[in-house]
Amino acid sequence: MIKLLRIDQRLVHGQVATYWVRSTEADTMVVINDKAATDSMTKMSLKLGKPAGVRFEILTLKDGIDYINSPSNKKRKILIIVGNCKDGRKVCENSPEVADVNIGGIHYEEGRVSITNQVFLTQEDLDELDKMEAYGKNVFLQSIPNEQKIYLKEVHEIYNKNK
Amino acid sequence: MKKVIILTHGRLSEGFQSAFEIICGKENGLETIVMEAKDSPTTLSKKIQEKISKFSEDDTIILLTDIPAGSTTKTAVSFLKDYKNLYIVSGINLGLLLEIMMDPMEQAEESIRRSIALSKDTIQFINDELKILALDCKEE
Repeated sequence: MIKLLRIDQRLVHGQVATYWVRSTEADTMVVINDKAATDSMTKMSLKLGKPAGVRFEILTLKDGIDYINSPSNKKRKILIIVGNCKDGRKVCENSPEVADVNIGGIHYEEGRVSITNQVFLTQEDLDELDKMEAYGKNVFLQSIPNEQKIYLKEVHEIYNKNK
Repeated sequence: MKKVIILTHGRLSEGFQSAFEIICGKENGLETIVMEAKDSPTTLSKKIQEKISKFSEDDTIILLTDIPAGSTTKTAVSFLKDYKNLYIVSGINLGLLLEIMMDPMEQAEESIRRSIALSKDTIQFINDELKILALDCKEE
């Protein structure tokens, strides 16, 4: 079963490897990201952060979607991590089993609007997130555990206020 | 309730708290004690006493210190006889702090032993680890 889909530009880092793995009780982490899956240095640096006792896969978008939909992986408790909203939408579009989408961290870049101090979004990102919600997913922003969840409706409001 | 105190030489304790907050956010059950160069065993004991006395008898108190041979640990040890719910762990690293903070500590001793084992695994010679991972990648 799929426990959570997390959107996080840094993919696996302290917050993900410690808190989110534990809180979702995941036994399998699947990073779905074309660059990470095809670049050996990125792949190795991510593997350094593998939490003990958890299976860890780093796959391309295509392979990742196959992996999470494969009947032989149905028994796994999977935490999916993608690096951007577009990849997240593609996973949601192709995996009915994803129920919750957690926006964790997207860095500031020119043209991005601050939602929290760790999440900066573009209009394109919001469009992708809206699509995920339209697929019936529960979309919320929460970078760290001791922080309130911000649901998509409110993310829109903050975006409009700050843009 | 679980209460965690970090006690170190200098402001290292506050640094650990700051690092923890980046990963998990603010946490009420986490306190710090700074041992300064001017502290004597008596003044340091007072600082520990002040923190511990705020907690109730039902609290599980975990005191994390920096090195076992230091005054930090040695001063803390004297509190063990009066506080049956006190556990002292030396050699704090961020991995240990995270494990301790995220464990509900229903079975304190067992949880602490497990947290120590996991945190030891976070001490790695990254150059060597990368060599091993590179070999794994080739085999794939």
